[in-house]
Amino acid sequence: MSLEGQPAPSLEIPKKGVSRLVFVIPLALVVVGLGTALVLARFGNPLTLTPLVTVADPKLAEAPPHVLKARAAKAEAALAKVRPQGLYIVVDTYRNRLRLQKDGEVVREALCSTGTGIVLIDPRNKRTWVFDTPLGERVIQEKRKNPVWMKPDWAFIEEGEEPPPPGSPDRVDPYSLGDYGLYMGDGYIIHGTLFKSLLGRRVTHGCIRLGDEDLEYLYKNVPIGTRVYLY
Amino acid sequence: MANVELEASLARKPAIYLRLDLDARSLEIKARGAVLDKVPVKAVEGALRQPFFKRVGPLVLPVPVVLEVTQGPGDTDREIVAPPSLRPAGSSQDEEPTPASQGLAPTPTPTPRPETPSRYRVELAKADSKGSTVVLWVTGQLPARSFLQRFRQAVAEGWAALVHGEKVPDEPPGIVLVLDPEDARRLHHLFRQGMSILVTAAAP
Repeated sequence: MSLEGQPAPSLEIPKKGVSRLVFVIPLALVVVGLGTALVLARFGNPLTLTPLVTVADPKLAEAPPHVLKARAAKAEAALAKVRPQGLYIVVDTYRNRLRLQKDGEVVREALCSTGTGIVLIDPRNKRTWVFDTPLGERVIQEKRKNPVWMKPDWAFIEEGEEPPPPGSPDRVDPYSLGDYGLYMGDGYIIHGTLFKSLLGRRVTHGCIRLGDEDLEYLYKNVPIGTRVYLY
Repeated sequence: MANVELEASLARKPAIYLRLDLDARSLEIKARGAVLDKVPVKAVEGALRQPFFKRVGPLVLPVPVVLEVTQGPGDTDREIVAPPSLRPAGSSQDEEPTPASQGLAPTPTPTPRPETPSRYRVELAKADSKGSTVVLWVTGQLPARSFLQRFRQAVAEGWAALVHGEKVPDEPPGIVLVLDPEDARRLHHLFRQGMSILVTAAAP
């Protein structure tokens, strides 16, 4: 009782009010949270799967069957004409495997090394080289025993050296290419290596390195004009 | 018929091309009509990057079609080496001949390279009309399909856009290609500018 004889206001929350707050506060938090999430989701741009529906060219549906048949036969003949036959080489530049194939059958498979894919920049003039093994079809244009490598500019720049003038004896390297070279044009060669333990890895400047026995087999069995498919 | 005609036109060129069969779920690496290698496809689906509350329609793809890579990981994921300066030529002439110059070089240790990614994005355009772009997502698993997972992703992207200003850009419609990670790495370098992909399916 207060001095005035009136009851003092109670600071206690009535029990009924407490039990209501227990529900109201979490509910309010959930509503606010969900509302915020919905607003945020409106600004999201998620990758959403959708059915992939394929449709055919309507012109083909209208064409008479005999015309379609004739066109298909012509296209099949064109494909057969260009399809590789006889002996050819296939190089898998990711797995670093070279396969010699005859009419689709593997005659010999060898571990090789292919290009790193690194880009080299000349600090003097920003000229660039990409050390890729080229993709696509090439042809064995020339075969040489004891090939000599005339080191190009990038071989010096990579080592941090200024390249010597063209024709300089400093460019002559009679060792690095091994015993044989099979030339595919544009400076790309299938050759040997001093570093056998690196076979199976992407460590070259674009050429294909092989071990001694595989290289000799290729040199002796692959004629000039053989096609090489690199992927 | 149209499949063979398109393939015959690709096989005329001395280039590698890919053939993706949507129904057979197979991807072949080819040249001159011959299969050089095969890659199994775990799943292939259409995909769109679009606002969460927008209704998703099907992705309609006329087939067969030749798509050409306009930009892929084979163009962009490259290590660059640039020596800061070059030493004068012949500065090492007075030195003793090294084992390398005599063909007795010790094996160099190659610089360790970062592992090839198994998830990447490739931009493609129809070979005959460079205007319409299609995106190919190569990944190890399909994007989230459930409502809750997509909602969570949308909220996370919305948060990034509003709070950090990192708005995910709109994307053209695309194809999600689910591959084994090692197979995805095998294909990584092939997705470079100019690579053709023949997309086929059985006649609908």
